[in-house]
Amino acid sequence: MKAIYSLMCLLMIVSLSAQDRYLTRTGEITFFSTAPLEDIEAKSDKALSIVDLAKGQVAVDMLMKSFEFEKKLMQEHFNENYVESDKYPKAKFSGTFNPSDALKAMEDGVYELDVKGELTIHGVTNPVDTKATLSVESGKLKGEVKFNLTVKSFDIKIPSVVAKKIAEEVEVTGIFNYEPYN
Amino acid sequence: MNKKNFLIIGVLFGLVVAYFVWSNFFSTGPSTSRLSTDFELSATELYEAFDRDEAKANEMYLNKILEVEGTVTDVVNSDDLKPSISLQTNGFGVIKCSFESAEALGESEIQVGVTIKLKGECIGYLLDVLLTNTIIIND
Repeated sequence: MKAIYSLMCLLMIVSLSAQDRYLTRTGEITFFSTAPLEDIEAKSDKALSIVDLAKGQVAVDMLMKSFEFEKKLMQEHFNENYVESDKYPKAKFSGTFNPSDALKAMEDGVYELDVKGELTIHGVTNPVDTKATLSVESGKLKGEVKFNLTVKSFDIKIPSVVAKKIAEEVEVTGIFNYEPYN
Repeated sequence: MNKKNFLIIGVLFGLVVAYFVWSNFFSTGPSTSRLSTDFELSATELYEAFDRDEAKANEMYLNKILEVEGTVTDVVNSDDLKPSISLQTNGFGVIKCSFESAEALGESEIQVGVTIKLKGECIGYLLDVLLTNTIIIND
């Protein structure tokens, strides 16, 4: 009887300390801007993200230089003139959400979340309030987010010569396939 | 004769313009093999430099062409992600070297555990130190 009791206690402890933190080193971040003359798209598959389901916290870190453009010249302009990636190599996001018990328990399903946090790009931090989803399928956790940001709010200056080519609002998409992390 | 000279100059000018347009608007960047190496070091040394003082390591290695030698811990060659090879360090992260395409990684089977020398551009440090446009120096 004592042995069964001990085993039950052990099981409870194990389930209490179950996997809460998940990490990916290959988060995909895409930004897309549509303007009269040209659509601009860049993608990185090297974002680092950690999500803590128990605490309802998420963090994303990425290197601006990991964005890849179709054209070399665009990539150069982006890094040298706009985001000044030598001076500000990283973009960071940290935020919080309210995890349901089902999500904490990693029950299969798609969980719509309100994520509130702060996004730092080009050395400027702005609040972000967006919808995101976390989906659980057979123990696998995937995060998806899509929001718009204005270039101006991050003090990114676009010369008037090319201003018509580049939209002021940029759509940012993130896809994160997390793996257990402890 | 004058006409001929004029034609030659015209053709040369055309070639220069074509090269300018190609290099600025269509080229995907210089091949790493043609770029000269700025630093040669081991994967462990490179990781330690970033782990100890990121700002200082950025000053030294960011945007530089590095030749890094280390032990392979992971090889990714899937359709979803860019091909990459990770090199072992003494820290929590790895040196993650991504290749432009599956062709750049080559047909050769790179096994986990072998020592390899890679050349690529250092783009910074997250949990791992990242290198892009990597090529294999030897295998």
